[in-house]
Amino acid sequence: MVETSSTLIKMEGVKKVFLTDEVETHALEEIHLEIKKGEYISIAGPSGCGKSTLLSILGLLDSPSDGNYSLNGQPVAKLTISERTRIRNREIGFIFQAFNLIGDLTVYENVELPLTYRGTSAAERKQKVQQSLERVGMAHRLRHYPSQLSGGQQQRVAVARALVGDPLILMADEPTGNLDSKNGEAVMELLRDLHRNGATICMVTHDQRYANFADRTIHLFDGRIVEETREAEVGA
Amino acid sequence: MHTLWQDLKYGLRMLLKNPGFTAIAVLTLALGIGANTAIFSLLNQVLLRRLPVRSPERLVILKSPGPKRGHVWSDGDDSEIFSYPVYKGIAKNTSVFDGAIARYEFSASIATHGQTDRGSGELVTGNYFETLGVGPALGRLLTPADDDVQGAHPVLVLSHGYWTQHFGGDSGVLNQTILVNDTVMTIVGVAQAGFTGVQVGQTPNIFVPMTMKGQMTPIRNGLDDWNDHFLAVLARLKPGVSREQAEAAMNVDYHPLLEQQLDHLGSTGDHLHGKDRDEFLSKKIVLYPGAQGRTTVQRDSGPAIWALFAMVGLVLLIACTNVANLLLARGAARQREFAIRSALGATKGLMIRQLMVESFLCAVAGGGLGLLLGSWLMNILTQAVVSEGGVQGITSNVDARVLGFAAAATLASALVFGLIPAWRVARGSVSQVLKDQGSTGSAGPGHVRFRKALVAGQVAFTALLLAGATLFAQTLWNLRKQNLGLSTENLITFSISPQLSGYDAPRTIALVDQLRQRLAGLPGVSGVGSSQIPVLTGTDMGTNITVEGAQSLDTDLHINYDAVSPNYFSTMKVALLSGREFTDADTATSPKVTIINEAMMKKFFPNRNPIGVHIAMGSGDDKKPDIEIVGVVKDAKESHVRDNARPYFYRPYAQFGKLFGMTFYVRTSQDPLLIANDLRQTVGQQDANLPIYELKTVSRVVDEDLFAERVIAGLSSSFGALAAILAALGIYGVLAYLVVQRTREIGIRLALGAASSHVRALVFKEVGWMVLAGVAVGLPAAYALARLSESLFYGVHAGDVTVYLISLTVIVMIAAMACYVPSRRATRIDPIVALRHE
Repeated sequence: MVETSSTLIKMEGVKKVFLTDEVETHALEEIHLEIKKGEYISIAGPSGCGKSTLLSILGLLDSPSDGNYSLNGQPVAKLTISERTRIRNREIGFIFQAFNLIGDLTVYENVELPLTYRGTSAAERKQKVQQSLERVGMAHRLRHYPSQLSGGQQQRVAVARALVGDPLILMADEPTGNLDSKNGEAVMELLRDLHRNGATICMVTHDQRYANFADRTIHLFDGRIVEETREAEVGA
Repeated sequence: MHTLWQDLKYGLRMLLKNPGFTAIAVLTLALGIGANTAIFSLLNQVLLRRLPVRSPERLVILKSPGPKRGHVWSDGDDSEIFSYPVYKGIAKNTSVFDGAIARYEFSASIATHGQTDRGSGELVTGNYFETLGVGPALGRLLTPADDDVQGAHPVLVLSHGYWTQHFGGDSGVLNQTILVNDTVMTIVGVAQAGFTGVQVGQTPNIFVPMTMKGQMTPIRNGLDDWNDHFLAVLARLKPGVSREQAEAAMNVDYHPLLEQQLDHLGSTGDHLHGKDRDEFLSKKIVLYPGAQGRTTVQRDSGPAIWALFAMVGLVLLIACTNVANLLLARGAARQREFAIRSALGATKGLMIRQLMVESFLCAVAGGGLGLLLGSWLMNILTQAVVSEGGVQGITSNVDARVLGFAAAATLASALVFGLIPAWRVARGSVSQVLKDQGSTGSAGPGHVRFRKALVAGQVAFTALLLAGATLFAQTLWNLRKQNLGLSTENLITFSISPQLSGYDAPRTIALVDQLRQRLAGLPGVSGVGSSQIPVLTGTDMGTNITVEGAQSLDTDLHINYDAVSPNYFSTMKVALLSGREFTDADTATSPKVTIINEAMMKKFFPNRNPIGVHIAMGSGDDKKPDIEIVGVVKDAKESHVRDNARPYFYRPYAQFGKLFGMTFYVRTSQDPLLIANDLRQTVGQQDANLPIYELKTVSRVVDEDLFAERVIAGLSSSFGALAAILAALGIYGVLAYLVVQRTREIGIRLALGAASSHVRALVFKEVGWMVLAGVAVGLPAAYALARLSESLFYGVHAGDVTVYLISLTVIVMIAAMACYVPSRRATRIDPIVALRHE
């Protein structure tokens, strides 16, 4: 286990309210959360409790309605859209439940995409894509399209894409949700290996078995953090 | 740069992956860009292209608006025409001009290689080529030394086109002699390629020194006559001299020239007094830009070409709207892809760029295909314009400007149809789309509203085009059903120009007499007539007249007339109202007679019988009316089908003196084209060296006279039909999408007991709003544009409600057709399946 050190993410009093047809839906209420570099946390809770909303805000895909959020010491509330895009590209790696690979791009092109947007040179891109795919054991499928891969393989490619830019944190939203148990286990093992090698991971899951892979689990209910457990406590 | 290359690669892959979408989008754009390219090519050649001469921007056209006396031979604008002595006076002014040139187009009977062809020539002043800055392709061009003494220099220059077509580009033509209008002429050179004179629509085969006019037009020389106006004059401004400065300088010299004209007029008995004299002497020289040469064709066809260009522009706009709608539908399906890209760090700019690259690829394919299509359309149009419209020199060649236009149209199309869909896709909510586990995103109500607005726009443009097409079609219909005053049924015509083959006046009359008799003897011929002016070809001949017993002489009265044969009216089936027709007894030595038309009778003899009254051709103190009116005929269309009835009189050709040509009309009892060869043979038997030309049915003559109206009606109807099809596709696309999007809602309605008619009404309501919004904008806009174009219409006006009702009906019909499949699909939704539908 890698030793955790400085704070990477800090949330204070974060709220998220959705307004639809004059109806207010409070998705998140008074979220206080701190994630340190090298930490592996999971966000657990029943369906509709706000897990994905929290992960979207953590991943700068969405903005909080209220409260403070700092990523790597930088407040992100007032960032422009392009600044948020830049941070997403350089500091965050996403893994989605539905893999979200682009069907018309090959495995190589899918993994290459974040580097392309970053303006990385072609030679460096090639090297990093190769390395990243080797890390997830998919280097032999470079020219394949997502539709030619199994679900487990697609998620491995998605993990490679998330890793390729050396992000500060990996955000995984139900990464096993669309996989059978065998492939699910394999992906979880992959994430655990990445964590052991120093990756900071924030994972949303409703499956307690997979939540247990994390150092720490945040339990959400009706948009609030109701409990926080650590690996040792879970193990006990 | 690398990412742009990746965008290109990916864009190409996406287009190939969706061949249906790509084919429809590319074809739609190709139709729009192709039609625009074809019309632009025409517009470019007729209205925009400058003369291929040195510094064309320094050329000016000289005009002198105001009354003209004497003989005027013009092609529509009398103010542009000067007599040769006046031109020479103008050309002396070298302070503001680097040269002033004069030209006159004439019919040429050219005998080469033992064959005589009818062609066109241009009599030009000796400084013509030097002033224009045109060089030779071979030999030398004409110089002032070729133009110093009348009749002394029988030399000519071939146009490059004529040299390549008739002499195979043989350099051995130099110093060869050919027979032009019965005069032996020596070829001294060939003009540079691409130069076809100074008037769009005319492509002279030969250029002849002006001082050879007496030989080229033996009927009328006119070079020494101060009041014989037949020359178009252009000049080259000196560097640094403005048109205004040149006008001021010219008008100092012009007044004495006008005074000399009056002096010479007086010597012919035509004296001007008082106000008429002051008005004549107050005329000024006005200079107009001459970079495009003379603008006769531009003046006649400009409004129609611009109208077509506007219509075809609308077609492209409709095509772009259609492709934009397709892209929006595809964008909705690709929302997830772009949400992923955004999550991975793609900026909005990068995503818009990627989508725009796809749009540009699509547009480039459409533009390329459009250029081919445009070239094909232009080929058809060119053939028609040249053969039927009589506008020479128009080609289907794609030059740099047309290529540039096609490229610009392609680029503009890509921007118009690509930018908004790209922007809308790129601004989608990332987290919302990514939360959705379905494979495709569903577009929000704003997206659908926008697509409906696009379709409403298409309907508006279509309404505009349909109203325009209806107005032009109605115009053609009205002209077609015009009473011409003569019958075109089984009537064939041809022309000869005996004077160009060396016939003098008495021989010409004898020839025409003999030909009439021979033609009348052909089997199947029921009547033969002839006239000097061919009907419905836009040719006019006019004179001032003096009427016996008229209270006051209207000195400005100019009446058109023609020289015709015995039996002319019965052959043409022009009704005789009173008196008699000309007979063979009306000879050069018998009493002078004339027949007038109904309009002339109404104008000059409203309250008396004109039969037996005398008139004189010309005006002046010494004119004695000596031509007796022997008949009155119904008004017949003489110059154009469009023309209103105007006073006209006819003289027997035997009493006319100098005939510059004769057009025969032969009425048959069967298809007149069956005797075409007999007609050729009959003339050939009379004189094997006498070429006949313009052999065609009079129905064809009418068609040619209505050429512009037929083209504009045909093209605008095609554009209207194309717009209607594109609008139908647009309506269909949006409705099909709406039905899919509302499947669940429709399922619930059906489950709750809605009948098929209720569901159908739901779909029709959607289209109803789009059509209503479209026609609410389109029809008033059509009315406003029609008001601006009323001069192009005939027998129909901008406020004609029927026109708009027809447009509305067509739009409702295409909307109903476009609705059919989506509404049918909606009524067949299975509620159980629909309620499971995600």
